[in-house]
Amino acid sequence: MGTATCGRCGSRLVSRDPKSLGRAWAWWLAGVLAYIPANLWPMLRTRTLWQEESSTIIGGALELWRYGNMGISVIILVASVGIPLAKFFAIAYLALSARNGARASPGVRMRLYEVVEYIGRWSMIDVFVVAILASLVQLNVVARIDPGPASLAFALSVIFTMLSAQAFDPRMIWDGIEAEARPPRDAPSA
Amino acid sequence: MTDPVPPIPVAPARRSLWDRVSVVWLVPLAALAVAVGVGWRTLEEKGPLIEIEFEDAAGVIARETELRFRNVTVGVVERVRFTSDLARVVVGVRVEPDVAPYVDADARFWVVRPEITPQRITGLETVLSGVFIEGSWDNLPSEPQERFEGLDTAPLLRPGQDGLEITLRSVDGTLTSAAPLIYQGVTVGQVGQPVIGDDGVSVTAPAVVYAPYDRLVTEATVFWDASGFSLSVGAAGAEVDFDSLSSLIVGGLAFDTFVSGASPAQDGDTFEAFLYEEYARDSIFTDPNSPVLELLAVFSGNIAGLAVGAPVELGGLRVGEVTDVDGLIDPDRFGDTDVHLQAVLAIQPARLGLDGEEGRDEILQILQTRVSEEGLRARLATGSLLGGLKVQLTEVPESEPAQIDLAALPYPQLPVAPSQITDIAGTAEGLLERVDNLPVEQLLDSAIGFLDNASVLVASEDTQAIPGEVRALLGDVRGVTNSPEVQALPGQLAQTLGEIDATIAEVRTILGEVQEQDAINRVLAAVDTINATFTQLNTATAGLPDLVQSLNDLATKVNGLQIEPLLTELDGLATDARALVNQPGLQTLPNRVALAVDQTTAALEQARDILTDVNAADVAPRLAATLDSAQAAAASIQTAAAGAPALVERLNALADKANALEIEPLLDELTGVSADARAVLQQPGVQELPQRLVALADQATVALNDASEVLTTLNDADLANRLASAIASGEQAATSIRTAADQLPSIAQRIDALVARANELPLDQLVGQLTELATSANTLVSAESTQALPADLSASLAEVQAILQEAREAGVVTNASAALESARAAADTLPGLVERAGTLLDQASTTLGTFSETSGVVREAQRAIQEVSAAAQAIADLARTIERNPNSLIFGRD
Repeated sequence: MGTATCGRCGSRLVSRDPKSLGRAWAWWLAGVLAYIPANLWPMLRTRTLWQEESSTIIGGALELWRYGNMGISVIILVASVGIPLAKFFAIAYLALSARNGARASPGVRMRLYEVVEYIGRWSMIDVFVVAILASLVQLNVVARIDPGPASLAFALSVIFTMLSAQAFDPRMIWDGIEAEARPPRDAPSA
Repeated sequence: MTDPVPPIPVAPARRSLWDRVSVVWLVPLAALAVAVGVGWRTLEEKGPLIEIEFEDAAGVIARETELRFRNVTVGVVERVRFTSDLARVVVGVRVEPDVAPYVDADARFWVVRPEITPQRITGLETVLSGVFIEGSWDNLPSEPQERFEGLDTAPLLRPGQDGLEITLRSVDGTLTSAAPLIYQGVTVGQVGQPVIGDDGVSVTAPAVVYAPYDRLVTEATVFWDASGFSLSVGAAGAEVDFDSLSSLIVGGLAFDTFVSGASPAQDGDTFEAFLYEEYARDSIFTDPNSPVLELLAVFSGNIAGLAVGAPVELGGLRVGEVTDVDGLIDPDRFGDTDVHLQAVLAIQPARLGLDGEEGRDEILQILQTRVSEEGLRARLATGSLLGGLKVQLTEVPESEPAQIDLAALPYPQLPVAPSQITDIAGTAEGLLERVDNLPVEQLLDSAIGFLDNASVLVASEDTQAIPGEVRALLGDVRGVTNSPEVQALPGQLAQTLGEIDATIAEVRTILGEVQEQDAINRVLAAVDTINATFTQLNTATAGLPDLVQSLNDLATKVNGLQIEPLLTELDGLATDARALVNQPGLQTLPNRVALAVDQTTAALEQARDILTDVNAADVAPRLAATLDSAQAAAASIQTAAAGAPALVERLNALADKANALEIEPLLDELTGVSADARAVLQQPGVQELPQRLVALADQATVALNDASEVLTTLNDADLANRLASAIASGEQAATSIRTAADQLPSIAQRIDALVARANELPLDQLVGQLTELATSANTLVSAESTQALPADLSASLAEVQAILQEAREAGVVTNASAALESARAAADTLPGLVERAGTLLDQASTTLGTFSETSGVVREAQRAIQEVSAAAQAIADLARTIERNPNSLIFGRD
């Protein structure tokens, strides 16, 4: 086999970055932290002639549901709440399973990881919608839509989650296979 | 080889923190720090939460409604809740921390909503932005307070604003919310929201006078309503007065201090607001809250015009007013079911200087004394020209004794006196009605019609021509009358009258003798008979009105005829007559008449002498006998007159027939006749006539001279005896007349029958015949023989002249006595004459029967011509009257 140390400095050669998991966790935590104000702060500030309305993500979705637009409400809830939360859970699960092993087969985890990374960028569509609305409805006094602070927080959350997914080394999923697949040493050799 | 390498301990490299932990962990840490920092800062920036209680939330929305101070947002409403008993709304407001220290116990909060008052429009921006809570506090930080009571409206006086807070009170509704307080036209304060006072009658409102004007309000300041305008009409003209345009619309209370020396007002003082400035001025001396004496007065009669607020006057001074007017029907009390007027009079003793409750009792006592002793009564009088009434308390003389009924409910009742209302409107109305009822139109129509007719009459050319001619005629006559001889006539007449007087004296003595002969009784008997005759004639004349009416109709008909051409002719006739009168010979006629009068005078002297002789003769008994005969004659006439009514009837019927006649053609013919007569007049022969008349007058004068000589001769010739014998003859004549008169009834009957016959005549044929007669008369007049008549006439006159001459020469005396003899003989023949007249009438009647067409013609013609001449005379009279006095058209002859 090859050497396990570096020829120059003598440090052990590893095939995985030991800090990658840490990085994934860090980004993951930032994303979670950013996600909290994204839900608490208002996402959109609608200002018409006589009133000013600001709504959070969930609040807006619920209001849509109350006004009968249930489909859109579901879409918003799924897209803005469900998916980011699912991503958080997924990355956390993958990161934990990389260290501690999991019951699911590596194939499944690999698939999960691919899904997370694929749809990661699409979460930005929320922010995109807010940006389009804000830029379209700018009738100064009569009607005005401004993005609230939650949109910034939400964007940050999505970015952090993306970075987190990127930082996770998927080969780690497969690292345990050899250990799992290696038969036990004290098995009788024939 | 080399030395073995000493064993070097090989230990894995110590991994630094950076080797194990990635840098990325800074990101979440930073996020955490940011989150924590933001949270911390928010917590720290939150000010205190205060709670304000309002009646209702009224548009306050949590997390949206702001709290503003001086229009700067200093807080936000966080929540809106109820109090525990749901009675009020608690609004929690988060106040900014830098303002929070100033929100202390004197802070006031109220909700600002859109408000539109007559004064101003505020808060419109809240329509768009939503209501907000306005707070007001001073700029001194003090102990903060957490719970506040919100106000319903903005306070009058903001904290920090200086002013005087007073209460205004009014009983006649002069207080309106947000009305300004005005001093000399400047708004210096404001009135708040009025509320009804405890007594249920008055209205109180808080008011504030801003500094520095609060100095102007003293304890003696009076307030009055300055809204609207006042209109007064006086000797100076009409005056419209209003304070300002805004007070005209919005209203406002003005105030002023009319007396000096009062101390400044304090917060919380109460002032009374009056309706008019005069009332306010009045109230300086009287307290409007002083007790009021209320009395009742019940007036009867149908009176309108007494209203609540009408003044009550005592001695000409207003002491109170009428506070209630009611109708009262009480058959038991008044004895009839009419509506009586019950008025409540509120008298203010303070106006008479009697204050307080004692004043009230005092005035009641005074009134009682005056009612019972001096006859003070309440009565209605005219208050103003426009029909308002007032109640007068005056002494009414000769009123029945009465007292104030203290036991009457609900107030003591005053006795009343009859009202003294001048119904100006009614009198004026009555006067106008009477003027209206005058038949002015008919008057005017009659006057116009009359004037039209009169103008037509006056305007006709003939009428206008007549005066000219008449005037000229008058001028000539005047010339005649102006001659000195005519002037001398009256003197001569006076002389003659003197002679007549003497003659009458003689006659009187004769009559005295007659009296002795008891001739009076005979005369009386004769008079009685004549009376009876007149009674008969009266009954006869009873039928005359109808006759007269028929004659009137006839005359009307005649009047309607076309007589202008006739007038023209008559006019011409007058012209010619005038020419005739103008003859110089005629002018000298008066001279001669004067001479004649002289002669008459002398003759009368002589006659008197004769009468003296006659006196001696025994004439009286002869006269008595004559009278007897006359009486008998009268009796006969009476019986004759008995048939008169029937005669009148017949004449009536005849007149009716005459009415229906057609006499226009007759008139035409008469016109022609007149024309020809004129032509005749114009003949030279006629012109000569006056000369002849003058000559005749000369002759007459001479004849009179002879007559006087004759009389002298008679005097000598013992005429008395002759006279006696003449009287005897007269006696016989009277007897003859009597016998003749006996025949009169039969004659009257014959006349009656004649008239009846005449009635049956076909008069139309008569008129036709008359027309033909007129035609023939015309031809007659125009015949040459008629033209030649004047010449013959003048020749006849010459003959008469000659005869007179002869008479004078031939010795008249013998002729006169012979004449007397023959007269006597004639008197003897009188009965025979009458006989003959009767037979003549018989013949006439038979003639009438045979010649029915021609006998009555002459009579008819005569009557017609008489009527025509009367009409012409009337016209001439009218013309003369109009000429002399045009007013007589309207006022009539005077």
